[in-house]
Amino acid sequence: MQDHEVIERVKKGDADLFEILVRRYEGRLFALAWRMLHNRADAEDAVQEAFVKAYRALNRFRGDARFSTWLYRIALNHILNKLRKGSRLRRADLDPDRMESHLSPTQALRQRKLQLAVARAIDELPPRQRAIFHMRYEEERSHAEIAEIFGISEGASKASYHHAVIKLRESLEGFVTGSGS
Amino acid sequence: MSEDSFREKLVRYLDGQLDASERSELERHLKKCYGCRKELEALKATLVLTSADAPPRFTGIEWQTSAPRRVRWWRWVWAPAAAAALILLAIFGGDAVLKREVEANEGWVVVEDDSLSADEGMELAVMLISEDDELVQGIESYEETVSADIYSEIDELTEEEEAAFMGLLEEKLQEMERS
Repeated sequence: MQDHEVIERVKKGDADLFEILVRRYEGRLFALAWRMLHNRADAEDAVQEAFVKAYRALNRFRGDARFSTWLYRIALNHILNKLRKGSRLRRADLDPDRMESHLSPTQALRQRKLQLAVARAIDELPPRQRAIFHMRYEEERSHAEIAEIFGISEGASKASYHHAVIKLRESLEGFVTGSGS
Repeated sequence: MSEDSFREKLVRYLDGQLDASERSELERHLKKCYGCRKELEALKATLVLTSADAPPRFTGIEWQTSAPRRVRWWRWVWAPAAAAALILLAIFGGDAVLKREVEANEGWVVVEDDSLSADEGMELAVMLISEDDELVQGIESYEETVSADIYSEIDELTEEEEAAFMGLLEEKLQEMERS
């Protein structure tokens, strides 16, 4: 069932069907929230909040934009607001799920060092640039879609993404071989 | 071409943003320039490295649909005088944003709705602020200047502030009616 069909039915009273949208988008929203907050609990909260807000505001969703665009906007506003409030106190969780069990202790340490360096480099990007990087590189969204989500021009989305890549290249210099022209 | 602008061109190339002639010119250059080929590889490797920051395993949120809370709601919220502005949001019955006005040098946000909780109203106000590029830039420059988190300062109005705001609001509404 397409998003707009689900929404119409939820609006008409099939409230339980909203869960279809939750299951359809929660993974992608969690990945985005993780990228932005680098904390599992905060990222899960952000996903939950986004869906609660979307559900409560569903009557105001009139289909001018795609549901996913609208949902992302809600989630990002929540996340950016959280970042502005300085709630992101814990960085890059040490999550046992993420440690590769087949690695030797030395390899695991090296892996962890890389993981932290990447998380730190990403954290150093301004929040909006960080989100744009994630949506463009990980989700392979078009600049037109990203521009719509943020209410900015396509040119601004491209510039943000390109600056993000260049900053990451500089921050991760020590982990990458190569030199300029 | 400087190293920086060449690097930017390589990023645009990887992002598929060069037009055909720029692309073939760059590809011709890459064939004969070892340094640029190496930089291109380094940029690709950087992008691949970011996968080390993959999210942890996620099993999904708990979701139980409940009827949305419908409460009669009328509340003033106030944002301090950032470069913000007067934002008038009048939302009736959830149908439409009927009025939205932005004016420089004021810092008021008012949300009226009959079906929102205070938190939802606040979120909506913040969302609408965030959709306004000029306003966001104003807020960002305010934050840079005074190094303050204006969002944490948003709060309910005191009686005095509310009275002052009511006067301001009436004035604005009269102006709108006249125009």
